[in-house]
Amino acid sequence: MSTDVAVTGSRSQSAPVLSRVLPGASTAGALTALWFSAGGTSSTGVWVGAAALGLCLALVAVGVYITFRVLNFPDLTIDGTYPLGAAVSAVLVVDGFPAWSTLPVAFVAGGCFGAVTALLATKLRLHSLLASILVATALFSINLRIQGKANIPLLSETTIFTPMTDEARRATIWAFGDGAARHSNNLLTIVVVGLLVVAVKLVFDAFNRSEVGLNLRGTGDNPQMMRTLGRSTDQYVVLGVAISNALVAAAGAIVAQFQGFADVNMGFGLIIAGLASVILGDVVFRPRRVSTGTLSAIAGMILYRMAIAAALVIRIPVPGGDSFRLEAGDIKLTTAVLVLGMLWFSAARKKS
Amino acid sequence: MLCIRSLEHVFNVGTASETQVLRRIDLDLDDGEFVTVVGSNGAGKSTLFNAIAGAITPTAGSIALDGNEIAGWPEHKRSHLIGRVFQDPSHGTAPSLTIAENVALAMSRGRRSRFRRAIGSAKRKQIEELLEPIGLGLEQRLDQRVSLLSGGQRQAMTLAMAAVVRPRLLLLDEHTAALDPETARRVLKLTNTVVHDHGLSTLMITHNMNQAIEFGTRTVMLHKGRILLDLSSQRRSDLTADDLVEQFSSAGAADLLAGEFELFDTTHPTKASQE
Repeated sequence: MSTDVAVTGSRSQSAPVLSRVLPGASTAGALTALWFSAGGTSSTGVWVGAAALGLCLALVAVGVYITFRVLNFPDLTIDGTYPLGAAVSAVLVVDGFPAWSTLPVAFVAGGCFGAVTALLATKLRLHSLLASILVATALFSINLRIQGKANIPLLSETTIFTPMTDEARRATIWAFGDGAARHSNNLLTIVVVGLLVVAVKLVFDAFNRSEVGLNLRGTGDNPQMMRTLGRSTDQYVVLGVAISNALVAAAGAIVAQFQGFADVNMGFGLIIAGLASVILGDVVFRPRRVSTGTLSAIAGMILYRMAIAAALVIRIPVPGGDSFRLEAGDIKLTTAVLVLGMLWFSAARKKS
Repeated sequence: MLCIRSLEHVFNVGTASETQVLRRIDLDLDDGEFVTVVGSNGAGKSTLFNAIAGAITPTAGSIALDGNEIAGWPEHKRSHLIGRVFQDPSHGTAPSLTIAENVALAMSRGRRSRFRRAIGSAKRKQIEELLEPIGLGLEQRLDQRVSLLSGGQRQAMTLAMAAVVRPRLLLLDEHTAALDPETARRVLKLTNTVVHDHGLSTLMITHNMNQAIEFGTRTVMLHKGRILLDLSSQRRSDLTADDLVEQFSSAGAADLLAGEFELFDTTHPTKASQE
């Protein structure tokens, strides 16, 4: 806190965060472009894929930020609403609905189950963790019913990305040369989902500045005061948790279309990824407001996916012997170590 | 305007730690009255406030405000009529919101919230005009977080926030107890101004006997969940703080003597009837 207090004197608090983010982001962008032009390396695809997946998961980071940081309502429902969004979207796409139209449906479905968790917690006075685990557990069965089977492949279906694949390929070759053609699908995802995330972020920021958004932030910050000022805090907890899970379900739908399948197990441990990105964003960018906080969480999610990719690609040298490489099964341990490291780092920084 | 009848409250009903904190409280408040409430720790002052404000649901009895029976209303609905300032400065404001955002929340108390911008330029001007008379320079720090303010600044702000939408009843729960003497004096002065300017009906808890007599128009002393003394303005004027302290200690001494009596007190059974 001491470092925060020292610099909060300025009228606008967004400037310091932007000034930290922008130079870094533009440098990284320029270097990536150069790297592409040079043909990249054998692992280029891994990095681009990680960035694309990170952007697809950006709305998960925003959702987790809302419950954990804004509302102070630790919520694990997202482990169930994320595959719910994927399931709803996949079933509708297979039925022939336009891929874009499935995103709002997933959004609403996720919001409903988020509201259920919040109602259990506020009306029955259950602890938020217990209420959300109950709903997430129930959702596993519900998702299986919706899908009818554990896995729905979407590779032969028309997704939100399909109509633009040819143009994306041509544009990639034009911009980066023939060697980059194999990255065109990931680059298309980065552009399409990037635009979507920017749009959601702008709407969310406007919401935060509104009277309703201010009530939501006040509810997380000091619920007693909000009741003293005539607000029903229960109502705003329901609204906030619903928005959070709606965003996560939309992310589930996007990821299903990006990866080409929906699987009932895809939400397992998602909350850790969401928390990791929020903490990573906090440590790297040190945001002080909700608008910069959500931006940091989005950046944190992309960094998190990159870190996971790095852990899989990089060979770890063993003294006097062979080097060894982490496998997919080691990811959870890597994540746990990463999150612990970040928490330790931010605790140490607060003390100094 | 406020009419409390046979108000009872029992904590932990039906358990070994069952304690009755309010016993048949009857209290009437006229429009514009400023009542100071005194009493030792555990006398039931804060419980009385919590019951009026709706933070707890009393075990029995009725609370009517302007003829509305509010005992069953949820806390946030009662807040449309009741303003409240707590002892702990951190309870009345949201620390990570800005000063302007906190005041904006208070300005729309009792109004439906919409999806329009919470703080536009017109609202900003209103907020500045509201904070300026407090004299702490807060109007120049609108975009700073409240967590940067001192306890006294927060209490002054909370007071202004409680009065900005004129409440029918203002509850001040030892709101200067956590402040240093000089700051406490200034906040009390501000309290007097706010209450008189708006003609607010007010209940103020205090532990300071001098304050209890100096401020307000009437003093009520609570002891062990009962109203022990109810001093109107005339009777109060020829009373000193020492007299009040004496009343206090004689009540305490009587308790010591009647220690056993309390156990056999059948006029007010400890198990409240569950109606």
